Amino acid sequence: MINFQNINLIYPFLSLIVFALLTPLIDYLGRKIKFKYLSGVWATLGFIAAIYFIYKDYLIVQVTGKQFYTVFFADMLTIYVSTLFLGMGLIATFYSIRYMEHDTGLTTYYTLVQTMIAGMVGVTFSGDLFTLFIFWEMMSISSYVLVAFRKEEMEPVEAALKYFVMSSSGSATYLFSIALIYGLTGTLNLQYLTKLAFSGSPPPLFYLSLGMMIVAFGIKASIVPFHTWLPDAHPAAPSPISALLSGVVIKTGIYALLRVFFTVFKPEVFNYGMILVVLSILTMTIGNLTALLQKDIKRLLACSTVTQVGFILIGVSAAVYSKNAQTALFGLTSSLFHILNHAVMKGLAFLAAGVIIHQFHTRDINQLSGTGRVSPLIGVSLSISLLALGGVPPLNGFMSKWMLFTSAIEAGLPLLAAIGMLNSAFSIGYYLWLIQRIMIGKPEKTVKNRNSIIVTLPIIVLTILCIVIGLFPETPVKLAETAASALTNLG
Amino acid sequence: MVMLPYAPWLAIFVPAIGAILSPLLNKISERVMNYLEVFFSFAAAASALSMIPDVLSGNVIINGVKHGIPFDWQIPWLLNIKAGVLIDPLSVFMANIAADIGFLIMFYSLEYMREDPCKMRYWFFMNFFISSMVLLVLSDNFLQLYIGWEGVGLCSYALIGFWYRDEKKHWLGIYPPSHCGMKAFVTTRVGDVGLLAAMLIIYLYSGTFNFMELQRNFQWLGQLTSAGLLTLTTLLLFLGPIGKSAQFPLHVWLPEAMAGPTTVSALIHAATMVKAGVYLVARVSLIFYAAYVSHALAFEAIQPFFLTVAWIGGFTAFLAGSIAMVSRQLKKVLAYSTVSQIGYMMLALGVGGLAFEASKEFVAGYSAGVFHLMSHAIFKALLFLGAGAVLHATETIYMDEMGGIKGKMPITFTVMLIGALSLSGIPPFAGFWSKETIFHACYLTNHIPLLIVAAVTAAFTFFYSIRMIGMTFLGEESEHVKELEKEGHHIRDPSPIMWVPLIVLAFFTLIGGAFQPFLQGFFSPVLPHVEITSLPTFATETFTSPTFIVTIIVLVLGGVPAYFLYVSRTASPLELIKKSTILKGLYTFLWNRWYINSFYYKVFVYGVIGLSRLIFRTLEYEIDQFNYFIADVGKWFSNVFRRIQTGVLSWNMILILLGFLFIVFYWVLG
Amino acid sequence: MIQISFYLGVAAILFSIGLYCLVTKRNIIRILIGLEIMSAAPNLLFIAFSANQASGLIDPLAHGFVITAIIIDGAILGVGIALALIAYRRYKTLDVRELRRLRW
Repeated sequence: MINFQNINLIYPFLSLIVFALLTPLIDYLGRKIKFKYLSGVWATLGFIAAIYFIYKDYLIVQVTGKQFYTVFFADMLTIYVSTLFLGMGLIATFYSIRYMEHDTGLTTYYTLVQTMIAGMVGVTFSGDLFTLFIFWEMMSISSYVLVAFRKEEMEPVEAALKYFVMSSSGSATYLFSIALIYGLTGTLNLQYLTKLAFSGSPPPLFYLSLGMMIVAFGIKASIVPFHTWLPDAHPAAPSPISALLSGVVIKTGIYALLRVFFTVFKPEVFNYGMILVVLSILTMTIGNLTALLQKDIKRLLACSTVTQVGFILIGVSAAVYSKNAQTALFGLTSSLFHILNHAVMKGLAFLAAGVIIHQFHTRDINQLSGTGRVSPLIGVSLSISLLALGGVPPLNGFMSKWMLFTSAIEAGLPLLAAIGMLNSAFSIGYYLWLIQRIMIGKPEKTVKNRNSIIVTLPIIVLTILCIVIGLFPETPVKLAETAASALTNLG
Repeated sequence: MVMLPYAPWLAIFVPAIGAILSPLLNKISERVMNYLEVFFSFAAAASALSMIPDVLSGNVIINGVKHGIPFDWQIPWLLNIKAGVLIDPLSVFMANIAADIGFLIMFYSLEYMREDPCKMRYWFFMNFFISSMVLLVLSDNFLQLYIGWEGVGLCSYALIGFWYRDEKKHWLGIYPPSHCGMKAFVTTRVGDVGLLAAMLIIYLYSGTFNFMELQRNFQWLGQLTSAGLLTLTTLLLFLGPIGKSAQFPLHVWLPEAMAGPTTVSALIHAATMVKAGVYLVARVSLIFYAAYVSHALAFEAIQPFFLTVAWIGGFTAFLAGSIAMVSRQLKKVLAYSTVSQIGYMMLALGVGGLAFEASKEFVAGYSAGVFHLMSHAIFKALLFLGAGAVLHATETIYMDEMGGIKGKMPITFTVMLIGALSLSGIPPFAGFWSKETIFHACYLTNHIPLLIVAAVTAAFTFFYSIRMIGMTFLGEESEHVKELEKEGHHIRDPSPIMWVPLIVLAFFTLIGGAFQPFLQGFFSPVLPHVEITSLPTFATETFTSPTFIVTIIVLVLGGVPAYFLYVSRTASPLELIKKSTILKGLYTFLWNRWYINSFYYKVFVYGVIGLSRLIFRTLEYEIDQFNYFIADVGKWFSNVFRRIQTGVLSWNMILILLGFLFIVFYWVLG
Repeated sequence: MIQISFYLGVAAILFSIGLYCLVTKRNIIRILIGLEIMSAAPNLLFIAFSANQASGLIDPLAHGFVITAIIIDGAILGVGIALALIAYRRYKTLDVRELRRLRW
């Protein structure tokens, strides 16, 4: 039974879906009045409206703590993560207005971006594992098509096909997993599932379900060894979409993992901390090793995303492994903070790299030498984002990595922290190399440095965020902590 | 007359604004920039001057300092440190020296630097220099002082190496200007490190950087003493002044600081840079003096500091004075004389501090040191600016290539003569009064060895002053001068823009001595337990003191040989050196600057370079190999693990399957 | 009445067949069919479990799940076939092992 008085809780993605459905109409209108940016502006407005509604939700949730309905619910984690998704969506869409102006099929593009983000926001608002599946598929299908958006080229098609097959098999696995949960408990509602109590150890089928869940979400979150689609799919998409995929879409996988871990498969009952530790180490290390010798700038960034997911998993595994409420809270806080920081840094890196690729029509790093100097703003922003990704002190990446390693040590996993630090140092190797390539030397060809403010503004905003979050991390950490405590105290 | 509102801040920020504006003004017009930049320094001087009447009348000073609301800027997030100014007689006095003499030099530069193409840089650093110095002396805490201190160091580096293109004509002997700037910067940095360390130790124990708070509560001194750190801290603190004021053993940079334009030398020697160290010693010795007078600190505990100050000062005075006697370059003579005179100031301050509980002696020594600072500032600015005129006219830096230009440059000759006589301490010029009080202070505190050192140095001073004047202006014209005349380049006095500042400075040199009796009164607010000597007592005391006889003896000792060698030229110094092996050895020893400079180069410059080469060849190479090895391992691993990404869908699915199996087997087996 | 474990076994076999298809088959169309088999398995499970919740009652919610899941499967398959079509146009083959421009 839907409580219609409280339907306003789901306005954020409802409004996005409405905006998405109206996009073709608006685009038609735009063509009539000869204003080709109209659909982009419309999509941007859609995101602004959604952010407004999420702010309204924030005001409600801040007071009441948790909001449960039959299939939807909201708590601070929901608000935190979906605000991040919507914010990145807004930035990428705004950037697309000028960046994508020469592409055809923009109606599809903007509609799909909105449905993708709406699906992600829906995932965070799902109070029911099956509802989560529906929104999950909404996000996934949109992202398959967006990866294959430039279908006249060969690379996106191949990448999208692989992404599609792997991700869909993940979805089927997830469905199988929740079918098992349904069979064992008779419900899929998180509100009931949190109250699940076992006398003794849980039945083995639960473990099977949990394992499938890790695989299913792991594919989306690109946890090694389920990550192989990511280095193909992320570079193949247009740059704003790469920013969204790397910045937020994989975070949906992490979010879903966190949600099921702390509602259904509680760490106190189930024993899987060590699995996450191993996966985290694998993810960091393999991601780094793949990234080291990449020749393609976007592929390098995509590979580094795998590494960063490994870093995020440090906090998650610390939280799961420790079984101590305080340590768990700290681990989750640092993970959520790194989710935010990684979205900002990687989004910035892809958007800035997108401008350079757009100017020079190549993604080969060896041909990009000195290109950052053509437009210093872009070059410096890209360098800042790379330094932040590498964890250079005053920037945001350092803060969250530092918290992550501390949480691992507190959870009694010093080896994990040590491997994390080693990987962080290793990653500096290719980030600095990339900066050196971009910033030093002379570009092979001269291009006009004429970037529209619409393209540069998102980059400036994200650069400022990188620095400001690094200098004044208290407020975002506080938000992440509220979100984390909402997660651990659920039920 | 009331102080201009915010006068201290104006004196700090007006020249700084001028410096920042200089690139902008340069875009507008070069003439506009020149005049406006000089105007900025004039405004700073006016602000500084406007503080004097208030300090004199004492109506803004409560308990010795004006430390009130309009002058404090709190920076809340910075360790609770307040940015403030300290208005007391000492700081106002120093600010005036920096700003007023700075302004005269700036005015002089209008003409002197007229043909230089890089004027923008020149104005920028000159104004910034003045601003930093005023900031240094007016700040009420160590941290702010340190900012000014470093600003001064930076500007000196930039200005000494002003002709950084190192054209041959700007070389100073074997050193190019950029090298000289670097030398100054590196050498003073050694001292700065000591100062920084001392500052932080003091902060650690007292929890404050503020001078007034340090002077109000002496607990930190007790804690430092019980920790056994007091002597170390004070000596570290003194290392800063040693570097900045070019005292032995860090005096080697100042002679090379001549590589910049002469106006820069004047600014460094007379108004800013080297006076910073003296100011700092004067500032902290007040704290220490107040501490042991109020019995918060045993006199024995602080004695090493004052002894070190006095002896370093005395020895430096002697050392530099002796080297100045053999120098060939006009500006180098002046440079060594600066080192020597700064030594005098340190000597006086140290001797004052050694006057245990005898306030009269402290006041005598203290005011002697500060007074000598003022008179030196005036006559040294005069001498440098005069030397600049001479250098400009004769197009050489060597004194033996000048000579016989007295008649051609009468104004310059007169003012230089006044400056030189003042420098040598001939009555009634300012230098006499200040030097005399130093001797008197030594005598009062019974430090006879120091008095002897000071007296011998005075003989040296008179010798090289006469030598300088004699070689530059008197005697016959040298070959170089004749050649210049033949080429149609007439040697003559500079234009009014250059000689007006000279006349102003000469005037103050003449009457400067008259300030001395008032100076003790002027400083009375900062000096606790004072017993001000009245004017008639002072005059009689000066002339009846046994030290006056000493003065006369040393003047005769120094003056007579110099007169015969360089003025009447009855004997040739070169012949004398040739004849006597002792004199020859002495001459070589002095010519090589006591071998201190070359020793430093051997040990600290070439030694470090050699060591670094050795390390590079042995250790660094191995480390490099190891680094390459790590990089290769990384690449190898990367090449292996990259193959996971086969690009074949089946493989990807197999990986997923393997991952799932890993999870399941973990539970089954674990 | 058939034991629930039989349904579970059949579903697991279906799922494994689908996965096997994805791992071994080269033809894109076969891979899509494999995907469909994979997603049929949970549907079967849902239906089987719906009758097992309480004696004599069939939970209608699970049927709702299944119908929704089938619709979503249809959407996925649509995208998949479209991708296969484009891939065939670009690469002139349906063999996924030929689609290996992206590697390392």
